[in-house]
Amino acid sequence: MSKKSKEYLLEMNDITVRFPGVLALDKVHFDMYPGEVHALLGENGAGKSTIMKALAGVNRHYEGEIIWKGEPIKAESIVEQNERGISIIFQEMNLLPNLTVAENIFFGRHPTDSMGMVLWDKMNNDARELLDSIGTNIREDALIKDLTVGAMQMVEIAKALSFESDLVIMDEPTSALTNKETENLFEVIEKLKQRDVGIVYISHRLEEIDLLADRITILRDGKYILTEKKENLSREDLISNMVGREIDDFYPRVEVEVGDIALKVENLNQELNGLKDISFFARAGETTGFYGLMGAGRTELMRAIYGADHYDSGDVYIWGEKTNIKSCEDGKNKGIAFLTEDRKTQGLILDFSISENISITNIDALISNFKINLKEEKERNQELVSKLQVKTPSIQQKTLNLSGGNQQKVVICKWLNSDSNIFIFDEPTRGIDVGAKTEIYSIINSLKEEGNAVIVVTSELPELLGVSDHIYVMSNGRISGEFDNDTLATANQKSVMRYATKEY
Amino acid sequence: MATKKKINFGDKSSLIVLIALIILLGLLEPAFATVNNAINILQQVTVVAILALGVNIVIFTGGIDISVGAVVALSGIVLGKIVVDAGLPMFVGIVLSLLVALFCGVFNGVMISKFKLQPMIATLAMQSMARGLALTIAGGKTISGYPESFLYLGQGNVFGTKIPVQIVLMIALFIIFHFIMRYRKFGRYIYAIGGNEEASRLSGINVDRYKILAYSISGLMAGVTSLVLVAKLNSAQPVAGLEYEMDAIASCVIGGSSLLGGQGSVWGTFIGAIIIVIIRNGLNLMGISSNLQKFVIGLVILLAVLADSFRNRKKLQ
Repeated sequence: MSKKSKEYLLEMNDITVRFPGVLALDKVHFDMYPGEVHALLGENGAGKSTIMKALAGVNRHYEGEIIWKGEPIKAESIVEQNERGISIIFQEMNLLPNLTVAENIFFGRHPTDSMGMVLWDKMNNDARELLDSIGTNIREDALIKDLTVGAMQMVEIAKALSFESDLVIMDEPTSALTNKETENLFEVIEKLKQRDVGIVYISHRLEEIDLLADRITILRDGKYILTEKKENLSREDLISNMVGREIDDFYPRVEVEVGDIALKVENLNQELNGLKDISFFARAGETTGFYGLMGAGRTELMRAIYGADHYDSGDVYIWGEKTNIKSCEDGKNKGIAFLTEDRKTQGLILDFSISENISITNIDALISNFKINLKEEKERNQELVSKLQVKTPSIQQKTLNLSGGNQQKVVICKWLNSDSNIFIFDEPTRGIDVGAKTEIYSIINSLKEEGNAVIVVTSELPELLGVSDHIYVMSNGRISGEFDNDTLATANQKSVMRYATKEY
Repeated sequence: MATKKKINFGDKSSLIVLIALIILLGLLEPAFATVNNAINILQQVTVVAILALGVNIVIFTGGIDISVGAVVALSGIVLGKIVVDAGLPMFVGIVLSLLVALFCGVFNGVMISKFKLQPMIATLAMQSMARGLALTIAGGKTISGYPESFLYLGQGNVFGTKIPVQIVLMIALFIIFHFIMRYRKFGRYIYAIGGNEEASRLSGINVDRYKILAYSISGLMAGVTSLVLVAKLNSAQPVAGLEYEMDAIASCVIGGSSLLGGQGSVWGTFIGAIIIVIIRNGLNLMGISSNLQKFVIGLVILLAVLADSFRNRKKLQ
């Protein structure tokens, strides 16, 4: 290793990152040659973004060794890493909407004269040059908020180049781009390669990897799996190395007689989030699983059905009846329970007590003689809390103080309290310890047994395969695969991943 | 939370401040601690307190209403025009002036929830519009001369006692609001929206509808305040209610309502209103000019908001 390290642009050895309660990266290795495109692959949560955030100086709480151009360095801050020649283009846009393109590119580094006045002409000219160099005709004096997402991505790239970087990290750069913009980006990448700039390319789109990558590194569950030249890896190799997450959870299964179709969606389209021609159904007494990689559109689909967002066209049938859900209030009244992915910002009112959070979906049931019966409220909610074994000294406790698993249980209590019969769980076990996970699977099973329809949206393949009776896989805003009664037996991590990486 | 204890004075610190103030002023100024002065103070509280009652609902949702002072003036002028100038029955005047105030509130609510305007901006615009209309309609003059039976509301005592009618009205309104906020779905939803608007919406609450209702109530209470004020003074003035919104908002904040929404109580606001008036009253008794009083009240508001922001910062940590 030491002999070879001279030619490396970058070496990262034994990188470990811990988040509270989780080992996000476990002694991961990554290296770069100058002028190569190195693809970083893995499932959601494999640690791709985590390792790149450590390299870019976004998260300085990492352990391990980073060798940059032969010198060991410590990545302490983004600014410092930018100066060294390492820049990152974030998945989430980091531009200031009310400033111009040029101002954003040179933000915090405006060229100034001796009096400290900004040299606008110089700044605009420099910005123009950068934008020209990547072949885009975005105006340097346009405001960011007036640009398309694709154009913003180009500005991010121009900004990265303005540091005269030797290494550019691109995290899912094409997820918001049109085909034309994607082609532009690929040309830019070619140009950068010729300038000996190294590019770390994170993407779920295997087609793009085929086209661009020189080498590929695969991570799984925060662990390093392999680094290989692209030619040596078939698509099958890629998929089988990305999946195969160890199954350490227990999935209690119950078989229930399948009932009627509770929810049916036909040809749903939503331009905003790129949902195209989505048709599926969910039956009572069944758990319908939805899998997809990041940005596939699963949460967006569920939000549209529940009424949180509008969709452009398509039909939704609930218990066989065509419905027109226009708001969350409609969704709830039609019997849909929507248990959101983000409990803290979307699921709970953290300042409310456990009891008040539970009541919110069904206050009418507590009203007698024009007033809320506080005694009945307490009894009802206490019963639910005991049934689901929420660990708390009192139901008057604020939900702010509960652990993730207990918060999730309160969200479930809240929806059990409603008169719903179609339960949509979006990532029900994210950030929850193993014990609580198993309890949540049992709750899902008992909902099924009581004749409800349950939909589980998940990013975890073992969970998908463990809980589902019927599976849909999404990719790029479309249903890319389905496993029903006859084909469910053929569903495994590889076959699901093949659908999830399908190109459109 | 307001629903936990029997009577919740919001943050207890406001009650402690009130008691401390009463003791302090009683020691400094013997004239302060008399029954007459106590009734005097409560009479002065009515206007601020009733106004604050409505504004408080808006603040619970995480919004703000700075138009109420001007709405007080506008609905007073409408009353004067109808009853004194046009000579129509008192009843018609009361109904129409309350409707005008209600309409101002509905308008605010629609602008804020449906057109997504910032509450501060929408109600600032309403403040200017309502004040402008009041001045225009009144032609800059005050309108005096109301029937005895109406003045009773602001000046009379309950039959056979020494208890002013306006105080009874105020306490009745506080009891009603306390009941609504604690025992009605409306109250729960208002607190929920202030606590987390997005989670409330996703729980199936029609957030827009409840926000419009909150601003409507704020407008309506400005109308009620206006009735009491006109009855007290026997005149409607286009410059009435100037800066009353400041006292109303201050009452809420001093009483423990968070400007971020979701927190506070009806009774806390009552305490807050009394504190504001007592400070004014005490400063008067000490012979401090009204100009300097303004400064002191401003300082008190600043301290109350600071205390609120410290509370919230602690919570975030």
